[in-house]
Amino acid sequence: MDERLKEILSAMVDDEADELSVRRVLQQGDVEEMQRSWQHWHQVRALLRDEERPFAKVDVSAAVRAQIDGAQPQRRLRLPAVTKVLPRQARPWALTAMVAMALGLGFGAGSQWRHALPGAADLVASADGGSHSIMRVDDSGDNAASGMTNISMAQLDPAQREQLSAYLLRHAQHSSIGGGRGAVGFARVASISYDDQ
Amino acid sequence: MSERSGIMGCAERAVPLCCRSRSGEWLLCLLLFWSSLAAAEQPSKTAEQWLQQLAPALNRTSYKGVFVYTRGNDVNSMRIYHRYRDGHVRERLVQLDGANGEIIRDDNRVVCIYPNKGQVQLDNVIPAGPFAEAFANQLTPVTRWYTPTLLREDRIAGYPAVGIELKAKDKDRYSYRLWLEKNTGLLVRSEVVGVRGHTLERFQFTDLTFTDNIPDSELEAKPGNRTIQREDIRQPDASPHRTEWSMGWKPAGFVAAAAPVSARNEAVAYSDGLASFSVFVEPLKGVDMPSGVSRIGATTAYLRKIRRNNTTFLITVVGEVPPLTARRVANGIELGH
Repeated sequence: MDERLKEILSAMVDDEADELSVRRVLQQGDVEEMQRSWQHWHQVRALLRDEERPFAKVDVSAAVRAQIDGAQPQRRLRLPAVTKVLPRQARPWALTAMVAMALGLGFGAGSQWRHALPGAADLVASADGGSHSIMRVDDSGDNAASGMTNISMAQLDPAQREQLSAYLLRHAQHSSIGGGRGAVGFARVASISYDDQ
Repeated sequence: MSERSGIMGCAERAVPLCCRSRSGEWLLCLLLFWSSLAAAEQPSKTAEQWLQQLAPALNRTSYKGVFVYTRGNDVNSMRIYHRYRDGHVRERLVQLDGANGEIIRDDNRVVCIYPNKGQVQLDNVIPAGPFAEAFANQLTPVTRWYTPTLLREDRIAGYPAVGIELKAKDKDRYSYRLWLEKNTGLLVRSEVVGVRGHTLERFQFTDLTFTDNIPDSELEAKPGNRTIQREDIRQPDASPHRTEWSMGWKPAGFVAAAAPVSARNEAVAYSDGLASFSVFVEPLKGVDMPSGVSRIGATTAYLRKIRRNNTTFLITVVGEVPPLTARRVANGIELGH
């Protein structure tokens, strides 16, 4: 699958793809790779928004293919439950394309998108508008009244940021090797380290 | 599963003998009935039993796949190759978003490959202290500090997974939700939950393949990255002098888990079996770091400066613990004279 198709899929996840692009995706033959990409994007989105994916386990591709081929499916697909919970007032063609795409690719993932949980946005205070999100101190029950000075990555100069990143990386190494946490430890610092180096 | 196979194996081997008489047939039927009943009544694993699989599965399972790590609004996708062969772990992580960095691990040796600066080899780290042995022997009393609850089964990256909630019994540590793949016990999803119930970070496989067939080529960094000298990279102080320090307080259950091979005594990691934090005590040289707390997802970094004998030391506590815990640890560090 080429980069352009990946971009279209990404746009479809955000409900921002135009009709021609959606048609182009639907005409593609490499369904398996698109399935993987589609699922990946939706899993990422689900993780980001802390949402349930009740249809993620349902593979309806066979029924949809039968319908496309003109045969009557064994059971009627219940689409209203899918459509009524979409977060945006999507354009009719886009909505249809999205549902068709989701069903045709065999994934229900993303069918019940909802916005982040109330209060979730409060979790992150913008640090530098980008990759380094500094959590508010008061999340852990120890609020600002505890008198701790909050150090934002954005406030550090490059040398200080590099030094702090080095500590984070070394801790990740300790955590992964000594603490038995495997890749999780390195995942915590990888983006910080790379962005700052 | 192995027990069930064993029973069936005995029955199969017994068939030719039993079939010589009608009473033998009845005996065979009775044996099969009892064995099926025994299998049906076998209780499912408890949360504690699943947790015992967690650490060995992370190292001793061979797999490759893609996982997503999120904290706040940040998302990072990484491809991982993890091979366990002849008692050795080799692992390669490739950043899929943004900069194209890699981390290569060969047992306790870790090399980070930065897109712009090349390779940096970190100090070798060895599991240390009683914790390491306890962890290897599955004796770590995780449930002493967390209350485990089995969650409903889920499906992660195409595999059935068992969910376990581990609620912290005190405010010195965070709570966790873990999902382990049912056959191998591999951690396929995890969430770190703050004291107030907010999810601070998530880790989840989106694509996963269990395979022993991971060639060396997939565990090596892709060619083209510039190799540079270690001195070019700013590292926390590498002074050869040993720094004497002691810890006045640490949260209950945390024991020494890892330390660098070097004898400088500048860093020690502690873990309670799930959470971990590292303590760095080093003379402050070159870069003047501020004092205070920085939080990135579930990771807290608390920095404190102490002046002793005309030298300023920087005490840094980094770990997946609440800021108050990190501060209390840092404030409890005492330097030797």
